[in-house]
Amino acid sequence: MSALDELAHGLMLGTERGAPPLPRLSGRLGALIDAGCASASAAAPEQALLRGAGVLAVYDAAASLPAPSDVPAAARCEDEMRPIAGQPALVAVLRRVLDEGPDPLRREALALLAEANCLLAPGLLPRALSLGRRQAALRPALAAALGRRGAWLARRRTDWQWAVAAAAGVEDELDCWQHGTAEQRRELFVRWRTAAPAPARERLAAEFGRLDARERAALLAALAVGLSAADEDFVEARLGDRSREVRRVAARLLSCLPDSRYAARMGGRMQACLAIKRRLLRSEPTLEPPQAADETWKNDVPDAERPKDEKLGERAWWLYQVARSLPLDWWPQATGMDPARLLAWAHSSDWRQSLLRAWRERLEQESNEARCEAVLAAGAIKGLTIDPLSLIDKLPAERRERHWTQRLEAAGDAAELGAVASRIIDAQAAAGPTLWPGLSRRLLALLAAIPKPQLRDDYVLRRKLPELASLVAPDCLDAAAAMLNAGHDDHPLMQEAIATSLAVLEQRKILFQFLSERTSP
Amino acid sequence: MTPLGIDDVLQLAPDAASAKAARGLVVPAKWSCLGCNDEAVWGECKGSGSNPYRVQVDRSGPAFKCSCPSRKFPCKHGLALLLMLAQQADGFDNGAPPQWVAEWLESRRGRAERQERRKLEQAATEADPAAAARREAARARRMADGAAELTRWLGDRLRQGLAALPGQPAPWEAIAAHMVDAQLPGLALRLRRTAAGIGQGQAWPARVLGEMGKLQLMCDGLARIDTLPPGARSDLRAALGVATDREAVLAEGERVADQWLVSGQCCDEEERLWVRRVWLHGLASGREALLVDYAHGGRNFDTNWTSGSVYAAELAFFPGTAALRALCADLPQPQPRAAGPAEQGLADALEQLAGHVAANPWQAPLPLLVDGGIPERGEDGWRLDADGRTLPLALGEDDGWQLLAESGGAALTLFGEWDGRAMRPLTAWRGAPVWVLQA
Repeated sequence: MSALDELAHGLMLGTERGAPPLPRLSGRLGALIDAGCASASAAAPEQALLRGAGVLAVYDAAASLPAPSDVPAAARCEDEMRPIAGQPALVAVLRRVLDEGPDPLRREALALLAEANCLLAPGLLPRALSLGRRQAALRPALAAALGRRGAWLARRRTDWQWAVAAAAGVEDELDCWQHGTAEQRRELFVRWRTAAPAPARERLAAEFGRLDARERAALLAALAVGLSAADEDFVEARLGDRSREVRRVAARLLSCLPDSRYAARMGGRMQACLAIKRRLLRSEPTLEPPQAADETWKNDVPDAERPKDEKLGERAWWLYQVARSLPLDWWPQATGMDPARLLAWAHSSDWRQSLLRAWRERLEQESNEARCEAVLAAGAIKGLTIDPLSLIDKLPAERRERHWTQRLEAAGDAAELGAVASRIIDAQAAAGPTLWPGLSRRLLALLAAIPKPQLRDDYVLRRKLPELASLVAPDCLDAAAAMLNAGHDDHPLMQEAIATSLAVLEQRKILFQFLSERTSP
Repeated sequence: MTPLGIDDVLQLAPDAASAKAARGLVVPAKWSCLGCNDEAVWGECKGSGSNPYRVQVDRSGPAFKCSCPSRKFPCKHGLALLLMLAQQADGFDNGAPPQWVAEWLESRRGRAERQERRKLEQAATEADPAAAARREAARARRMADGAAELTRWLGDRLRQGLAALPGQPAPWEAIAAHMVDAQLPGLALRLRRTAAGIGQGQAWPARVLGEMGKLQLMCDGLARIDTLPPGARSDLRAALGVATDREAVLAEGERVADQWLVSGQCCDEEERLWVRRVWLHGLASGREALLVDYAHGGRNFDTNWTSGSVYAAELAFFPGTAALRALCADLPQPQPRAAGPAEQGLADALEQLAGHVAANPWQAPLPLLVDGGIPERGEDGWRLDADGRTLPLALGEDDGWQLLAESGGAALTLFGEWDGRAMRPLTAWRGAPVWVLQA
């Protein structure tokens, strides 16, 4: 304890209970204290004590040494292997992009960094790590740009552990499986399934009984990743689960396995109703669902009970349930008719509603590219109200442009155009790179033709303008800026949207200037 | 005049809402008659009224003027104009300013000259020495009475004992108010600060006793202020809160002209009053200097200093023993040369600190420059490990992680303010400044 501490200790109860003595120190300090306090000690001991305390305080201020460090210093971070994108203008733009987005712009910036094989500057690492904590989708791209310094920094803070998780050992994974949240377990499971489907299924099987209903359903649904015939036994056993949601998921998964016993059973049931009648020169199938379902019906179909408000009758409901479990390829095989004739036949049948409803579901569920193209080419199909944009989403990225351009041209009024544009922006923003030049130009031209007040009122599209600015092809940046600048609009929300979008275009220009060999126009 | 970057402009905004509104106005379609030259930037912005608002910015400063009815200063139009300049400079004409801009610039210069003239006239008519002497005597009496009251009050606290202090903030507030009435605002500030520290941490009794002791010493000093050497007298007067006349400093203060490196700066706000401290280091003379500026309502100071840059200027120092506080006597000229701070290990830094305390025990905070330190995050907060010792750092979480990211576990040179217990880092260097405290 220093002299001042001792003095304070002695004064805790006050001088009324007896004044403590002044500290006796040697040397010049002691002499100073004695000299300064001597004059006052008799009349006012408090003054003397205060003077002594003041002198000691000043002395401490001048002479204090920081405590010796008892904790060993942490290891220094190693030098980076890749170059750092450190130009001040680029760092300023990256800072704003990381802070404000929008997400497609963030992805583009990180992709450009990866292409240029550069790392984020050290000053940007804390915000990049915090961004990765909030947005799981950006984590792979961010991790690639962090470098060694980013990993070193992430190890020091618990909520940045996501950046270290990639290198986590098996023990951490097991720990997450045992004690993590449902969301974390599902993510982990999806990772395991993508890497090694069969062992992942084994793990799930071992743990299944202990999970609650919601999680059983969620993890079973995750089995759709890498689904194969090997999973059939496990999934089929789930048809007997206590929870209806789990049974529904199991039925859906089994219906995606065309060679399974389940599919065979369903096919058998449907086959039993089909009878091929010869009529004149053609053979035409007729459909006759049974009056009552067989005993195993309830085991196979979770929604065997027809809901009270359902328009379909009992037999129609049965037919619908069976038809939605059959792959669409079953029908041409079983009836020998091609899709066009099948549709015509379904329209003329009594069971039209069940068949069309089931077929629409299967169409949206299966991702057969050829079939999607065929349906899109056919245009509107009577009775089968399909959302063409969701079909376009199933196609691979290269083929979407043509269809989207067609949809845009076919849009009737500004509202429809706005809706189509919004869907395109959403679909591309979710995963893809920038839009292609042709589509960008067409989209910009069409949007420019919309009168500004209408654009302002379409609040969905208006909010997406910054995302649109980040998705437009790099060659069209100036055209986009011109379109946004044209016309005056005083509405503050529209102003804000346009200003943000213009800022996004500027930022993209700078990113291209520094990080890409492409010269910005 | 170097154009301000986007971040610098946003720093000038009085609040976040203004900054956001300003960004929403950066749309070329809304602006017309945009122009700029070395002195000013101007433009007309379409607003909600029938006529567009005329917005102009004087680049030395910067100072804003806008015809919109907003009471915020600077308004969103002024900020948006500077953002337009930063983002899309090619939209601006480089021609002669229109009449409404030229008139305003003229009147600003005229106003500055009129203020100068008025001050000189005032100094000249400050004739009546008798009245001045009477005022001085009255003030000295009030101060003496205030010091006596404080001495009695401190004695009372000690009689009751330190253990009775926690949980009783009212007496401290009352005595602080009395000190303000007795024209001793410096003592009031110290009293309030000491009161805030009661009960904080394990070692609070010694700390609070030390502060009370220093207050006693200051009262004792005031009692015999005329017998003190001139340097100590000026230091004590400054510590008591007696304002020093800026004109007197410019006229009589020690002048040092040098190339000054801005070691660091910080800007704090208390009830709409902004206080900015800029620490300078003379490259040739080795002097340390501190500039203190005040601004009301927003962060709009007359001159802007960039941490890490070098400026050629002449400073006038306040009176005192080894004074730190100074005024800038002329317009600082930015120098192209880059310089790093002198190398100084922990031992030398502490030696220098001791020297400052010995010269003027009342000065706080003090500058501290430490080389070869490694910042770290410990369990009780941030610290700097240097030469086998650990220095506590007063650092917010976000700033701390930024500093750690720049350091990467390697040593940095850190400059900051030392308040007796912890160091508040302001700038970190590794050759060039790599980290600056975000205001």
